[in-house]
Amino acid sequence: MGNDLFFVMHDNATGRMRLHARLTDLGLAAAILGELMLAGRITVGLAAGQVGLVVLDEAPPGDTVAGTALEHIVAEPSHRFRTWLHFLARTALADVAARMVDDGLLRPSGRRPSRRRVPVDVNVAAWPSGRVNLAIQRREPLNVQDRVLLGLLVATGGNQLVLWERNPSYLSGAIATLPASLQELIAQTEAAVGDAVISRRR
Amino acid sequence: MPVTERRVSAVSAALAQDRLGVPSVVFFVISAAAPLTVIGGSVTAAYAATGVIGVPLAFILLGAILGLFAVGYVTMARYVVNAGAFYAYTAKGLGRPLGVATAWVALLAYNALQVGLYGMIGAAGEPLIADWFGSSPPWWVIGLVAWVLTGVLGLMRVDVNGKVLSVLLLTEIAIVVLFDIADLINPAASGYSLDVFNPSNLFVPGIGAVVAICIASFAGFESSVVFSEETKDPRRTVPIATYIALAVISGLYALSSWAMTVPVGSDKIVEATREQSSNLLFNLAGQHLGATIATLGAILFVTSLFAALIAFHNTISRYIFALGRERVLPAAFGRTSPRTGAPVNGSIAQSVIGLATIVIYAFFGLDPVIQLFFTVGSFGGLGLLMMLAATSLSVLAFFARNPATENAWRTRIAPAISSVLLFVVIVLVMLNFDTVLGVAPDSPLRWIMPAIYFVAAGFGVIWGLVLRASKPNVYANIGLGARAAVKGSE
Repeated sequence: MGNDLFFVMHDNATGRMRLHARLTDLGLAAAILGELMLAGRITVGLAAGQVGLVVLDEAPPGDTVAGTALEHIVAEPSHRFRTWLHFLARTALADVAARMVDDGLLRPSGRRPSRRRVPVDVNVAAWPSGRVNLAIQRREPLNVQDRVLLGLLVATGGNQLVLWERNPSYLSGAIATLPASLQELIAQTEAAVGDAVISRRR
Repeated sequence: MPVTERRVSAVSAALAQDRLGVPSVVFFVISAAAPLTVIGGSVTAAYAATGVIGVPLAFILLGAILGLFAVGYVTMARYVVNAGAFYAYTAKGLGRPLGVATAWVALLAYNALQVGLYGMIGAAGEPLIADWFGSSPPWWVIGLVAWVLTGVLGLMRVDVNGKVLSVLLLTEIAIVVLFDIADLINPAASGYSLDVFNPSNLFVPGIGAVVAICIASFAGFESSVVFSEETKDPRRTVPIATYIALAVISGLYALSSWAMTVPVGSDKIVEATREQSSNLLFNLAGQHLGATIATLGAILFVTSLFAALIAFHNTISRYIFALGRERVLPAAFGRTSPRTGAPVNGSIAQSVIGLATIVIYAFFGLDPVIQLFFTVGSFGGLGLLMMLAATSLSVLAFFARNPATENAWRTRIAPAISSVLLFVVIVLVMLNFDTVLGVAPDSPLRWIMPAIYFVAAGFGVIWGLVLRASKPNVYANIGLGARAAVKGSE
């Protein structure tokens, strides 16, 4: 799902970032947490008035990026949700991009350390946003992964750039049917994005 | 922390690398105060418009009052989400309807402080352009250029923070100190006098007007708490940075406003500022330091004003954004531009207000320095005082209901003293509002203008009560800002 969000957040052909860097970082950090939640490894928990993460299953999820994140969470479970977002956001973009290069979805960045990560196949890159847009157009339901993808896209504001139609009732309906922990993920991302807008740095 | 986590947290260590220490926060806060803008602009306008020479003493006294205020403020900041906004404190301490009232007052006051600067930047640019090109367009053309640049940078979310600002700020302070020294070693024939620090020269009719413009000069110091999440040790860093910033700001302002009177003579300063307006500071520098340095100072004056314009614009945009996120303002204001991360609709709203002001003042041929900068700026200062007083009361109320482990000095004594002092100051300002406006004492305007704040607050309370009745989940989010998305949970 992180890969899908990556594709949605970048131009299909040139690989340029569509969003402000901080928003991309937060979105992908949330996507990594989302992958772990969808894999049943973690969920949201409330402890001492703070929203945090609860580990359900320590077994490695078979993916290095999510696996490393899970190791961190297992080692230090008492951090706030927000702290996890900020921590993962530091490296999320690079980690997800590296994973996608390994999976053959992105071209390696080569000698030039450019900010562009060019997709190997434009159609593969366009598919996630295409399928979400089609579902909205046809008013068809999306599966859980795609609903989380949509929720994170909305939370980071990327929907203004990527979606063909404005359909607020579809969007809120799609998110409202998600399990509570995933809804909290999206809400936390939205709050983190708001904080980033207000913050005076970057 | 459980035993298993006592080893160094990799997460905390990683995040700590990005964190700020005391010097950085002090720097950000001082930059919000724009030294050259105040000393070149506000101080000369204060002397000229009010005829009161106790300006340096006013800075010292106000600095002390704000220091007392800050004690309670930074203490309560630990318990407040959206800490940089006064309305979050009043919402928590005095109830949400009053929180909404404070938000409306804030929007009025901060906008007033910002648009006043367009007048001064126009007045500051005119002599420079005239010097270089022989003649200069009227102030409002310069103001409009500044408006366009501010609006564009606001939409691009370019903050005047970081290296450029640091360089500008340090140069500004250096130039101010240099001017001060030059002024102090060139006394007028009447010799040195500390007249301006004599209370009998401050506690005269017109004191309220001086106070209003002087307090406006401190606007922005409250932003120190915004950095709590980004500091290494918020409990220590934020309070210390706040006090240091206040001390530096008030000390520098007091010193410089006194130094300006030394070469002129404290008996002649009012006359001199009435003749030369904001040029006085640079004319004095020209006499003692030569034309080049004076011109450099004049250029930095313009950049200082510009930086202040951008800083206030961004503050207001973010305020509107936070209120939009809470749905206290229409949700559209909570929208960001995904490409720039800017609070677009908030930025546009503020730009509209700025444009309207410039156009109105230009159309009616009003004076940009006294009638726009000084009067509107003082109006903003009054609003700031009201917010400070309300916040001080909120600190008292909050800790009365939520006894915490903080000591009595922080939660009861200092806030109580500062509340009383702030109320006294507000009364002084309101009594002297005719001087602020430059109208006759029997003019109804002198009561109408301050009343605008009360009307706005009244609407705010009504709106808050309406929200409580019709949209309770929005009502519950008042004061949370961006955290409204997660109901303020930590």
